[in-house]
Amino acid sequence: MEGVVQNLVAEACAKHGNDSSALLPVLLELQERSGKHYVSREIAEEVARALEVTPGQVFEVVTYFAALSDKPRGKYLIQICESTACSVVGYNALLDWFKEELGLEVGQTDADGLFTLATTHCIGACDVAPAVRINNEVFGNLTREKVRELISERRAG
Amino acid sequence: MEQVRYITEWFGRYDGQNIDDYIKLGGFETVRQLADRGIEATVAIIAESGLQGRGGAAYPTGIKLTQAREAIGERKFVVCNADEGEPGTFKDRELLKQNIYQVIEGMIVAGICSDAKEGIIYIREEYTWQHEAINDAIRQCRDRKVLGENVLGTGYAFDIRLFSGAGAYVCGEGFALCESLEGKPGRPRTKPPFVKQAGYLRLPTLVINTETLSAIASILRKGADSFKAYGTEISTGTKVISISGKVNKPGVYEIPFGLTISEIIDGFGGGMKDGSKGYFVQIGGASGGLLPVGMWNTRYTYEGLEAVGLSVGSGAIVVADETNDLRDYLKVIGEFFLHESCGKCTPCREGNRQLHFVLNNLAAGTADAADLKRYDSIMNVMKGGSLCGSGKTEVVPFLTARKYFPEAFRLEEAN
Repeated sequence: MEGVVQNLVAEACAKHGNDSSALLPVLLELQERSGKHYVSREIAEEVARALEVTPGQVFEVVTYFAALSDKPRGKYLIQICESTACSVVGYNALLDWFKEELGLEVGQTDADGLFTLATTHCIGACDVAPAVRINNEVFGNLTREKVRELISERRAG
Repeated sequence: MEQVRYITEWFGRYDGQNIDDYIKLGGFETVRQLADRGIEATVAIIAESGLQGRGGAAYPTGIKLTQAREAIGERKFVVCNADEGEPGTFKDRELLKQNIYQVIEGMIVAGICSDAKEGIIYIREEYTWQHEAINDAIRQCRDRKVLGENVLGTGYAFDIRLFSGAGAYVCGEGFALCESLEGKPGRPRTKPPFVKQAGYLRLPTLVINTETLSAIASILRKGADSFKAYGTEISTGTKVISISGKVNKPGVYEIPFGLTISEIIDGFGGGMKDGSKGYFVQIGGASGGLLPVGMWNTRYTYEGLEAVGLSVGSGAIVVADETNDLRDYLKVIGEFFLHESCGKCTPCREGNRQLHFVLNNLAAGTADAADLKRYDSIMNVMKGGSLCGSGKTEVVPFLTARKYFPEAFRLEEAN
């Protein structure tokens, strides 16, 4: 098991240029590869060793940046934009639809580890507000029907 | 109203991805011209055009390039700031998507002019979906020797890599950006020295907005006079704006400076959504000022907005109608800054926390006179005492709200 983590980290570090400046890209890539949108403690400690920075620096970076997480999240990370433009065109209704369809509150992950419901600041999709980001895809001009579809497509896998 | 096609001239003229199509349109010619024209003459054209930094600070680009050239270091960097984090802004998204090569062309010019050999496109994490296309464009540039040891046979060396932020608004600030490039939490440093002297790895770093870089390429292609033909004497040229909120046609538009807010909303935004009545706009991002409908005859220029306490900022225009509540909106802005404050300096960290309580009371209708007094005093402390531009300018929406929207601060009788 330890060897797997080491190889994974070594590979990411080699790709982004084995020094402390590579910390952010390395963590983003390892988080992406975790399948659960997070950086585990053992990954974080291995990254610290590999890039010769303190574990403290790695944990500080992971907890400072909004895109990184030290706690596992669902396979699909649903982030609803709650910024200025989305707020004037009805982000509240969108959030309610997702809450009801998923049966989750903001910050919660479902029992299957499939969905995490979260809010986010501006994702630069204000022209199609209210907007939502699911993993790396952005969806806009949403209706309740469209929200149902987005969820059921992913449930079906 | 017709859009201006100056910076965005080649939008839709090719797929935005094939380098040969870009070259056929005349792409990268300004790099070849630079080799003949010389650096000083090139920078002089930019200075003559009156172009100001489009990220929000509005620093004259000609001066910026000259200072970057004067900075001394064994390595020098050009960073394209594509961290577009001001809420309501999405114009860089389009500049990257529809014409990435023009951004790269501007970076090469800026690199040669400032004697930097390394370029970094710092893109926000929210635009991860664009990474593949941008990396592909960089690869095509290397294949065509547009990037590399001998850029287009000019003898200059310049290369670019893509770097993703990780979701921190403050990383749009030069020092915070550099810190995150170094693998640290993005927190601003004290200055001097400035980023231009000691930025990334404490080496000279020219951090320049995506739109400014695109504009550099267009201006060199068409001449300073063609740029100055648009706008006013102080606000020369065009601006790529992002309109959103309660309008019929939200989107990215290139406009000449000098139109009124009403003209922009009606002429480009397609008018108020379904004919609703306007209430306010926020101009320039979350840290931009608020302007009531009665003042929408204000001209969209650096000087026109400054006269009423606002600024162009990032070029964002968020429009609200009468069904929107300003107090709710202020709460949204407050929550944004509470979350995004990096926590390094007390005025911004604690100011946002205390402001949050006041804004909650205002929105709930339970605010009292002491709350308003606290509101005003927090503004003073943050404006005067914050370490970086983020803390200093985030007071603008709250100050303009207080000034132009007395109704939002009227206290309930019972309080």
